[in-house]
Amino acid sequence: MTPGAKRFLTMLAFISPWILGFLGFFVYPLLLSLYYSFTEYNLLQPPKFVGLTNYVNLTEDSHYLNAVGNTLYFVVFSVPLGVLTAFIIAFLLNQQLRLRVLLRMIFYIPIVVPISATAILWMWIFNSNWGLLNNLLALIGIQGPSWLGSPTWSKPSLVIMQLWLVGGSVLIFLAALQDVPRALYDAAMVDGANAVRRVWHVTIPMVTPAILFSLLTGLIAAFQTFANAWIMTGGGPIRSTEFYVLYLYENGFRFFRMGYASSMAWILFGAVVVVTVILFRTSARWVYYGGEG
Amino acid sequence: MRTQEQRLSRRTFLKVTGMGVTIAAAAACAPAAAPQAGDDETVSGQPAAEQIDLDYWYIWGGEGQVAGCDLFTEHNPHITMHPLTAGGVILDKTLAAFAAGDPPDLVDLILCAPLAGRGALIAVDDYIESSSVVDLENYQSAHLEAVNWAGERWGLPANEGLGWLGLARNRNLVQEAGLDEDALPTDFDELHAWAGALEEIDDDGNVQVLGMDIRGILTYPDCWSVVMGKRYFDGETFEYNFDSDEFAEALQISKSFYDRVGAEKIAEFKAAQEGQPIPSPSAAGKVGLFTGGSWTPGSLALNAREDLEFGFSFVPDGAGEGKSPFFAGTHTAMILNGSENVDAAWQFLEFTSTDEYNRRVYDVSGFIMGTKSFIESLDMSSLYPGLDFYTSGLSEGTRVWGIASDPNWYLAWDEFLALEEEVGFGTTDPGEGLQILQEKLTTELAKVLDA
Repeated sequence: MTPGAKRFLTMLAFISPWILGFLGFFVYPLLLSLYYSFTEYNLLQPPKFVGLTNYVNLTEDSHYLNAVGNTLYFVVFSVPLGVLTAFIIAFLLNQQLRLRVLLRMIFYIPIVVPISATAILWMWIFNSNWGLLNNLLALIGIQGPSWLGSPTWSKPSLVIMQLWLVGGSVLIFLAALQDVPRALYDAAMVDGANAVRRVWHVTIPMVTPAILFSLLTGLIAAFQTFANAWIMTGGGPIRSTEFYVLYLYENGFRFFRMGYASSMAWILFGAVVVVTVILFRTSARWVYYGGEG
Repeated sequence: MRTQEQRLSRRTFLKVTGMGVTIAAAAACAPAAAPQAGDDETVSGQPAAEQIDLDYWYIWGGEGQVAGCDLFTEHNPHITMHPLTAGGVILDKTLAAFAAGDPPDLVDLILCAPLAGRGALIAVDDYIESSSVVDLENYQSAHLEAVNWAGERWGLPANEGLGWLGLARNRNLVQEAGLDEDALPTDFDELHAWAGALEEIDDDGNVQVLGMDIRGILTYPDCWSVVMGKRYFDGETFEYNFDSDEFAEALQISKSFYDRVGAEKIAEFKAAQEGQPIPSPSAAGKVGLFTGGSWTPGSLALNAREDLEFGFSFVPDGAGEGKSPFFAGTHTAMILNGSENVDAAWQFLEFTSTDEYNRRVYDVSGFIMGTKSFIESLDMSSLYPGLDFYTSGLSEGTRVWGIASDPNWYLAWDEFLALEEEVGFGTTDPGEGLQILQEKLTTELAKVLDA
């Protein structure tokens, strides 16, 4: 055996636990779910092949289309707002503030709080009678709505709640901001750029890799949103917060339709891949990596 | 020489590691055979001394169930029970365990049909017939409906079961409004009149006191079935009846209560009540009439303001026949196909029918099983005010129905509940919505019957 082959086998032996885990716990279930998506499968009896029936039925399922609409709404509003909020907070935390370290920690705390606890907390905040939010609005003479009880306000409520969880992106933006060379600001000032122009022409271009990362991870997470709606609204009122994965879960584990749920999962997977590819393709035009010409 | 030893040692290490990991991973990844329909082998003739372990999953009542299991083991020292409170996700958990080839021996769900219809349960008719412990006459006949599917029995009512539908009234509000408690509403027009007298709306149109919370009747699809005198599912002909005039009328009745003050206003009012379903402790004093099950009197006695009093009566008959509709819900224990100790599992199931077991569960967690002998053994006057309605209702009700033996019960429940809300908000036409629901459930039923 050649030394190269030996080295390769040694390497293979050391990474074999990961490879086997990857194959057994990721690739195998993934392929199995692809197969299930072409079957009628209730988890209790053997799957029965039905071809594309599940995919065709999805196009006629009004609840599915409703879930798609709800999810797109959540993605379109929560992701850009989340990135913007994270950037603004990081920008402020990057200034020479007193208690800066403490403030950074405070903004990160919600990330380490379990989502179930966060959901309960926000149910209280959104309480229309004695919740914090409506009480604050009342101070300025506004009668707050029934945040979670109204089909009009339920989705915006969950978008607002999502902003509470931007701590992770804030950290990434902070790191990116601290990486912006001081010399660029000095050069901009010499050229007469005011603060706004410095942010627009120096800061933002320099943190575009962080923006891309936050957008990407935010999009993937938003497409899969589940726990907040599951705990806070159960998908209601009148299915206004029944998101994609919530409906998928119900079909798979409540209504004995795992085949149908698998087809939903694969469509979601495809959608996420498409969005990710589009984002990457367009990133060449707007993301600046240091050192590029 | 030393180098050679090191080389050998490393090679051996790599070989052993590689092989070990491969074998372990292959063993872990090998799919355990999921039990199939009809795979109901029993382990008869086991030596009595053989130690047997039984997994038993149930919805609620942790400590009471554990105590009941311990009592069973006291009588059967060779059987060790492993009880587990699975809560609201018990079905999800059971399905996943079954698919993984490792189901519990016994589960306690609302009804048997969804699992029985899909071949996941052991039929127990033969066991019942040969049992000297189980007396079917001792069960409420309506409770036994929950164990049926396709002409066979697949479990026994267990742990909790009285009545799950009664009209509760806040007596303080009723007396303030000058309503006569000796002339309770007997139809939905009268119920509207009562709701109107009880409700309080402020100048901005906000609900301060809700006259009648109609949504409680929708707790389960079976509730409207018994109120309207039309079963939503016929377990003998395997037909759904959601596309009937009775259910269209049920939705119209429901909507008429939404329309009294507006669906959004009711939603706002409810959302303000600590996010809990009515009657939550905070809402108990602000809702005139609502519906609830046998758990409601105790919940109100423990959580509502002390000065409040509540009365309970039958929900009006929507069929106009002047009957007293009563929905008798229960929990149902069943043996899963794939259990390796079916006989022992049956022994436990059998034991749940005894007063001794039910007394232990009741003493520890307060769960009341609706067997006739056990109810008779309770001193109802010493229990929560109003609870006696839920026991006497079983015999005094003139239309007492149990849970439909519907294999798609969970889907029917979710979809009908959502439809009722959509109709209440005016976003869906009742007839159209019911037609879609009927078709959807019929399609799913065909899959069950085909399999």
